[in-house]
Amino acid sequence: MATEFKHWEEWKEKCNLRLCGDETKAALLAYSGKRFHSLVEWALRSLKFAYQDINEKNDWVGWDLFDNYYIDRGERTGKAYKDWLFLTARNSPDNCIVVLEKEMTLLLRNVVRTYIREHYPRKGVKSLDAPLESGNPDSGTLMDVTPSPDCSTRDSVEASDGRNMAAGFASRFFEELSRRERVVLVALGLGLPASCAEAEKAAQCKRSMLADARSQLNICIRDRLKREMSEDAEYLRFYVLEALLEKCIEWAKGEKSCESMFHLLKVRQAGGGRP
Amino acid sequence: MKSFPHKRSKEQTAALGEWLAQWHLDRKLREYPEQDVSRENKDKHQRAEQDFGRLIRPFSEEPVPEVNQIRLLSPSLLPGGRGPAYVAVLGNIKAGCCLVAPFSRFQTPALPYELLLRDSPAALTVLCLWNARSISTFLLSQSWCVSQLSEAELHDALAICNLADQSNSIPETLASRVGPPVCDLDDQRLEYMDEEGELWIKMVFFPAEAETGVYLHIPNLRDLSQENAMQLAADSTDPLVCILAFEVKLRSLFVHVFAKPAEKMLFLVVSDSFGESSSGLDGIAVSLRGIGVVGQFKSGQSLIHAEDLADIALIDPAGVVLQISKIENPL
Repeated sequence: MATEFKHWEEWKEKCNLRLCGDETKAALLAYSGKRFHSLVEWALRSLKFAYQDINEKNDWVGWDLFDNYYIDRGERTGKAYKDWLFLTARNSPDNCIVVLEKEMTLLLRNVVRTYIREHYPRKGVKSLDAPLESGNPDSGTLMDVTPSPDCSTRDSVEASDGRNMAAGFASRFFEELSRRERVVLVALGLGLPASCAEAEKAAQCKRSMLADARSQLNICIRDRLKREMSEDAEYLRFYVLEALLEKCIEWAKGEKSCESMFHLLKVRQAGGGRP
Repeated sequence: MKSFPHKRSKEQTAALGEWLAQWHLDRKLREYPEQDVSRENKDKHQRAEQDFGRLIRPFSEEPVPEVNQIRLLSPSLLPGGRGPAYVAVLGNIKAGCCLVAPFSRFQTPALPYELLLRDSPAALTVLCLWNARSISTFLLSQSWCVSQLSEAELHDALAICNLADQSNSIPETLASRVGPPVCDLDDQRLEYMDEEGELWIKMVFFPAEAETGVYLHIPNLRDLSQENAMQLAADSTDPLVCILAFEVKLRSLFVHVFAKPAEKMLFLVVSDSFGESSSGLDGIAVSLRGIGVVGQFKSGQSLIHAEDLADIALIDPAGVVLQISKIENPL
């Protein structure tokens, strides 16, 4: 059954779908249920190695989750997400029913993620060496994004040696870095996204180029470390990055074009002026 | 800078595993093929447009932005296709300017500057303090106030905001409610940061990098045809000529720029989409390229001095240059 504007309208006015007439109930439940279960199946099929399919279909399950997901909290009642949904549809040049349905699907994606997380157990315990993306051995492992355990278990003398070696490498490597690469590292060091307008301004290029620069830089550091310090390459990688971040932030402090990145941090701190 | 944070607790590693599972699930769901449900029933469409007004709670009925509030931003402020964006108002930076932090679409903190709020509905679980921004109340007022942070939540959020950068350590009391640090350029959380950082692209940009849609050229008054003249006041002998009209995007307001050819004063008048005068730009500064701020809107009007061939821009109290677009044949 296709949804019509009157169905959406009634849902908005009566707040709760259970209070709506049978026609509205049937139309919205059919639409949301179909989309909800398609999304669940799509996700489970894509991630078939990670989840067990154990649940049965029930259109109200998806609807209730959806209705509760975006519910407001506190004393101000009402479901502002519905205003958001209708304003999005009004602002669009496309047919409003198409937009409402499309946006509803978008909202359901978040709901489906939560639903799968809560209702479908992940098979086994995730190993640190297992691919991050099930079924894709090229997706890296949890270990790849976790600092090497060696960093914290090796004794302090060895760690100190590692830092010294990394510092030497980083000093040489820093001189070869382009402005873009330095800005990528400054953003990382300051905890800012490389896509922010301030980073674009500092690097004098578009955000997509900064993302490319980050990938290239990562490959370059790995290759150089393997070439120059084959045995300790993995062990030193984190120390090298640490040293590079420090150098880049020092460099950025003297760069006028990077001022706005530091300013952004100051503004956040200034925001803390009111307890 | 303090040493890079190498140590990560078992709990943080487990939480990161959970977050990464959610991240991959999210990406898979994005690949879900859009089903074409195009409908061309124009009658239905027209009726819907007429009825929208009473279905959408107007922003003018919302409380003015204040610290502690949680607000749902208007879709007009955001890039399309990203879903609703909830923000918490954390502080007042200066008059007319607030510090806000968005909520994550995930329920697990991914980064050290993401704070888990307990007992919150799913969409309001994790506050992204690394993505906090100062935006003008002018923009923030285009949102619905949906809730409030508790005093304790605000206190915790500000404690994290007050840390200068990633190298500072998170207070111990909050350590279990934040995510682990990023220590690798390969970390997919950087991609996540890039995506979430784009939340602000329609609201925050710099005129030097985005000249298009920021400055508009004021035409040479002598070249104006008298056919375009518009008599504003009945007792005026010199007609005021509308030399330029533009729309202020994100606000659906319109500015008509009037001039007297013999003088170098420009008179800017604000109206809404129904042609009614509006005070919706009050407090916004008028700036000319190479000169800077030359005036400000008050009671829906601004009077400025301008030479021929000037370029005009509007700047809100937060310093953000508003996007404007010229309207052809305004009268």
